[in-house]
Amino acid sequence: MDYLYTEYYLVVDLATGEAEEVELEEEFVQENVGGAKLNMALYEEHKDGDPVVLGTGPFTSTLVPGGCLGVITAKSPVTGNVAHAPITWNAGAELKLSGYSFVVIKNKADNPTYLWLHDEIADFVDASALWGKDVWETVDVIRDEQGEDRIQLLSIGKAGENKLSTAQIMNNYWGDGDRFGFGALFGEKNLKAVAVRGMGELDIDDAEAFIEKTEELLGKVKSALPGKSGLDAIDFADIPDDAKAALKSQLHRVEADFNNPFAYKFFLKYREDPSVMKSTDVEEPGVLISDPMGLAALLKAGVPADAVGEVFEKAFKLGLNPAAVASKLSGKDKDAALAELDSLAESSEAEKFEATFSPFAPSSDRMEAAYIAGICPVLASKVEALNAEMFAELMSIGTGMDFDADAFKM
Amino acid sequence: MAIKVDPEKCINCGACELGCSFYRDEVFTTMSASVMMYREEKKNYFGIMLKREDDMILGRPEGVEIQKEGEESDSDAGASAKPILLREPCDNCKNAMCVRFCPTGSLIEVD
Repeated sequence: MDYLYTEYYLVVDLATGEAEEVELEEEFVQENVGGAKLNMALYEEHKDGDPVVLGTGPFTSTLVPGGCLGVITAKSPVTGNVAHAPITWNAGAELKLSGYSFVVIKNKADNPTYLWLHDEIADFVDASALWGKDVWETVDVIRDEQGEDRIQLLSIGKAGENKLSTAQIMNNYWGDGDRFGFGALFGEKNLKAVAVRGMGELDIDDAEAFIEKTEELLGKVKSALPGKSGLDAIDFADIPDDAKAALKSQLHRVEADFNNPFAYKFFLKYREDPSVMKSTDVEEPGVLISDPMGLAALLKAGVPADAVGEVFEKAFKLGLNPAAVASKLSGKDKDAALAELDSLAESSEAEKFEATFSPFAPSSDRMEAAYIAGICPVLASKVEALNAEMFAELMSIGTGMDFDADAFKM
Repeated sequence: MAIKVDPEKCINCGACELGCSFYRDEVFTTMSASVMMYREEKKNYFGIMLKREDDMILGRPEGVEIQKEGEESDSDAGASAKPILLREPCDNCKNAMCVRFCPTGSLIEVD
């Protein structure tokens, strides 16, 4: 594919230790567009290998506002069906720039392994020494081992290693939108992590027109956003007012996903004065609230607001999905909740639910199109202009091919 | 024309890196920009580095520092700056894409 995507996608067979580069044909993109839709086509093609498909949309890693999204597609241990979870933050963008817009990971490795994708190279790396390490240690070790602190990681902790449906695939140190127990699939495959970093470049067919349209769209996005960020902006998560007040005493800075104008993520500092802006020798001062609906679930279960940051951190280190384990923490104080998480990482089961797209972001009629386009679903829920018609117009300009709004439907 | 950095407004989205790289090469990448994000992720410590002809602007959360060529910084941002040293300096282009695509006004053009 000449435009907006990389030339190849990758099919990884963990059983044989082989990775095959496959040309991403124009016809395949014309038919399946990208993101969750193209992932689904790859899933069907390789379903005998119980694949986990990592993919990007046409606008991932571009200047289209919200163009951060990668998508994980696999058969969910929670729902029993094929489902799609978001990759927010920077990993989706970095995946595409590593040289592979899509990666199909099938079968099971004989020994713990991590995949290191960089500059159109796929390395299988022995992860025996990482098995048993928590998520934060895993991130630090792999970044140190590969010598780059901008490496983005999708990894599992103890919960994933134990193949629990409450496990999630983590995004660097933080939880992301995997409500489907995909962390258990990494555990089943003996796959500790996928690390991505790249110096790739994406071409655009009519670059001038694409930038003009994108800048016009950015104006609409900025107008539609509430002018708030972080804790004040997460009206889609049901956070009680008294909890908000308590959380504000720990509040540090807000952060955004890659090229996402909507900074809905925020950092709680509880091992250091949150007003401290310098980098100090406190190595782990707090936690990024990357999953506001997970936060709401913990608060609803009764986790005290002044302890919820530490509970989040512990769940993230263990690779547990906070929303899936929240009810198990009901009525527990901080110490009891932290202790309970240790046992939940050994044995727990997520409550069943029906969904195709992760209930991590607020539901909207633009969610499906966003998952195909590679646009943050949280941002898309806020901005009407981020719709299938707009995506079709932009993709036609960017690729020189013809797409209509129906292309951005599953 | 020059670029002024207000690190307090930065949300670390990296749109400036994409914009500047596009200005230089007309492709989407983050690798050829004169502006670069840095991040100590576990500490929520992040900001912007802008390489200029004779110095570098370090837009750190605690304030802006101008680092002259050959000077060492006492902050970790100095260590993170190494990759940008290989890049082209900002050429003070007009109507700069890093500014146009910054969603928060963290980068602005000044005379």
